[in-house]
Formats: sequence, structure tokens, C-alpha cells
Amino acid sequence: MSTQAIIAIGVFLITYAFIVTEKIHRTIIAMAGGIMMVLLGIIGQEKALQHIDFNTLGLLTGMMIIVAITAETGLFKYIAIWAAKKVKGDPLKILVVLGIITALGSAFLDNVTTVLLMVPVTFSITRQLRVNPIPFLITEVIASNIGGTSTLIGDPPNIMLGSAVKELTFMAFINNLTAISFFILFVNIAILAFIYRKQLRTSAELMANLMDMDEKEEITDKTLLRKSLIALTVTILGFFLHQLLHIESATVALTGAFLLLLLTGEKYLDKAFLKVEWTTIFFFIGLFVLVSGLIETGVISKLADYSVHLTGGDVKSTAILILWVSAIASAFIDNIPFVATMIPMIKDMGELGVSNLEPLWWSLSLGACLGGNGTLIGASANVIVAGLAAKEGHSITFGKFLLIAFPLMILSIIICTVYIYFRYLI
Amino acid sequence: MNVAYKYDEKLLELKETANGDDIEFLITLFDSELKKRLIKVREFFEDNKILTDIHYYIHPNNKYQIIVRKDFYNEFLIQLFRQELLQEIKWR
Repeated sequence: MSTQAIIAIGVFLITYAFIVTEKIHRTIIAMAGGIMMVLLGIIGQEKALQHIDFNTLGLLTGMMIIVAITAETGLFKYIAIWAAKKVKGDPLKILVVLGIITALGSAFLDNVTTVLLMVPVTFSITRQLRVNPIPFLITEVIASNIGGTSTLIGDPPNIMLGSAVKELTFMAFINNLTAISFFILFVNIAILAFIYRKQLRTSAELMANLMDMDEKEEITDKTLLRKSLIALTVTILGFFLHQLLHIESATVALTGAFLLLLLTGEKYLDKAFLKVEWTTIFFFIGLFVLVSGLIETGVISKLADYSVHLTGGDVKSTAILILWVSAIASAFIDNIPFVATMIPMIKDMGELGVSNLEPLWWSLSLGACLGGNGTLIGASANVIVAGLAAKEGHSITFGKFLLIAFPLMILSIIICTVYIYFRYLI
Repeated sequence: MNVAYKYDEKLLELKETANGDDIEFLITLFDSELKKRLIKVREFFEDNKILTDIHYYIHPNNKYQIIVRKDFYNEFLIQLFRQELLQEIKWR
């Protein structure tokens, strides 16, 4: 192994260690790691820029702009209250419908945005019914990670996979992951509803109060809502057709975002750009450059070579190994850097003779996305909801979450193992 | 709270009750123009990033149920004054 490769591994491991310990913001660390790769001459600036996946960045930015403007309309509050009324204000049924809404939202928006929209209305509904909000919040966290697994745009690991592998189109994700994700979602929600059933009781008077709410009044700007719905429809249609139209998913998202800004005018420009999570965008940039150091020095090829030797190049064992390792790793560390490292490794496995990479990609996606449900630090949505809840005096401790979520995550991965085996490996 | 509120009774009605540890206000607007002012009160609390300071529920016929956390009671009254929905507060 060359000196350059050893330095690249050193920079990568130190950066990774800082990301895991969360002592310093992950964006600062990832960018510092990426810059070190360039400063130490592991990779040139031009090459580093080539490794930054602008499709992933464009897709994230476009969707963040669309959601920022749509949230101004009150649409998400309307949907939550409408759904709560449809189930007659019964807390147990509200837990189920809010879980499903969160999963659907996460499938087409991103997890963090979806939970940020759902948490305030959840507090509002549970306060009206005088029930404990924690079962609802835990269900929404779990549902957001499962819902995000079901589409190309739902979760950052999927966005990265869809961008890195041409065959993994929006429709490919729908065909391969949506049904299994929603099956897992229903299993998880059913178990959560059973666990929390005794805590979810309220009086008929409070339910009647909720039934009397006028959800239509939550829509604050009907003109803006119409414009947002046009842009959202164009964007989602674009995702379904992007392969047919030969355009990348980032082009679809950015088209939707700037069509909406064209329709709304300058008034929303500053607000929309302020709501773009630039820290996430720069976290990705840092990671892409960091991993490029490992790619360019041949470290990733070596790792792939070692993995192929370990499994004898057998697709079955490799797929199951990737699924479980991704799930366990993602439960404890950030799944974005993990997937950023795994993508070039799996690509190299293809060059080393592993003939069918498809099950490996789906194993990586399912493992990395669903693994985030294992612990409170497994995914950004978990950390954000726990933080919001604690601030409002409702603590979701690491242990409390682990006790409920880790067995559910293991069950989800067992279901995925059966699915991957029967669908792709026999 | 042991206080009486003075407001324009032609424009609105305001009732205060206890709701658990919190205080609940039931406000009925007789003039739809006042909606904008109540929305401004809501926006003030939505902008402060605290999710449980007030809970704002809209009912039909311009009726609003607002549950206010005890530590935000003073701030809520200040905002009602600021929007000129309240004119006076007196000890009973």
C-alpha cells in the first residue's frame, strides 16, 4: 500500500471518528476532512470537484425549496387535522394515521422536513386530547425512516444510490422497494399501536372538541397552495418519467423548485433559500471529497477485493452481509458517510467479477435506511424529534427509544432478508 | 386567573378557563376582519420555535380555542393588547 493510501486512510478514519463522537458539527468535520485530502496532495482540486455528485446536491436543494414554500400554506396542518377527524378523534387510530402520513410525506419529501412539519401538529392534537405525545413521536420517527426507504428521493442514502448507479431510477426504487417498505411500515405501526394502546385513551368530550375543529381554516394562502400543488405535481410526475425523458432527478427537482419560484415571484425567494439546509449540502460535499481520496488511492478497490475474497464472490452471502452490516452500522453511525463509502466498493465488486449487483444495491438501501431506526442516534429525524421533544419537556431517552425501536429494526431487517432472498437470490 | 378583561363586546367575546395546568381562552370574533389580528398573535408564537407555548385550534363560526402554557400567559396577554384585541385588565 502506498504512503498516499495510508495518509488517505488516516484522514478518513480521524474524520469518521469525529463524526461519530459528534463533538464538533459533522459538516465542519466532513469539510475539514475533504480539504485535508486536497491540502495533503492525496487528490487534486479538479479531481475532487469531479467526485462531488451535483445530482445529489441539486435534488436535495430543489426539494428543500419546494417544501419550504409549500409549508407556508398550512397544507400539512390541514392534512393532519383532516386525518384525525376522519378517525373520529380516536387517539389509537390517530397514531396509525399520523404514522402513515409521515411515511407518505417522507417518501416524497425528506425525512427531516417531514418530521419537522409533523411534530408541531402532533403536539397540538395530543394536547387537545390530553394524551402523552411520546408514542406518537416515536411512531412518526420510525415511520419517517421506513417511508423514506420506499423511494429514490425519500432518504439521502437512496438519493446517493440513485445518483451513482444509472440503472437505479425512480421507477426502479418504486418497483423494488415501495411494496416491501409499506409492508414493513404496517407491521411496525401495528406493533407500536399494540404496545401503546393503554396510554392512548381520552374522553368523549375531548374527542368531540377535536371533531369540531375546522381544518379548512388552517390553509392560510389558497393562491400559494394552488401554485405549490402545481409545482409538486409537476415534480412528482417528473420523477416518475425522468428515465423516459432522459433527465436526471436533480433536473426534475430544480425544475419544480424554480417553476414554483417563477409562479410565486421574488417574495418567497429569500425565505426559500434561507430554509435550504446548507449545512447538509456542505456535509455531502465534504464527504464526496473525503471518499474520493480513498477511491483515487486504490483503498476502496482493495476493500472490495478483500470483501469478494471473504464471500468467495457469492452474491447470496454478499447481499445478506451488506444488508445486516449496513443495518447495524447505520443504527450507530451516520448512514450517509457509510453509504458514500459503500457505493464505490460495490461498484468495484462488479469489476472484480460479482455478476449481479442489483441485490447488493437493494440490500445496501434497505440496510442503511431501516438501520437508522435502531437507535436514537441512527438517523437525523430521530435526533431532531428527540431534541424537540426534550425542549418541550417530553424526554425520549436513548434507552427508552432503544427498547422499542431496536427490536423493531431487527424485525424489519429479518423481513428484508426474506424479501431479498426470495426476490433476487433464488 | 383572578382578573377581568375589557374588550369591545361588539367585536368579540373572550372567556378564560383552567385547562389542566394551562389556561384556555375561548375567543369568538363577531367581525371577520379581526381574524388577521388573531393570526398575528399566532404567528408571534409560531416564530419563537417553542412548540407548546400556545396551542391554537380553529372552530367553525369564527371561534378560537387557545390553550396557553402558564409561563407564556403574560406574553399571550401582551400580544392580545398589541393587536388591540384587549383594552384593559383589572383585578377582580
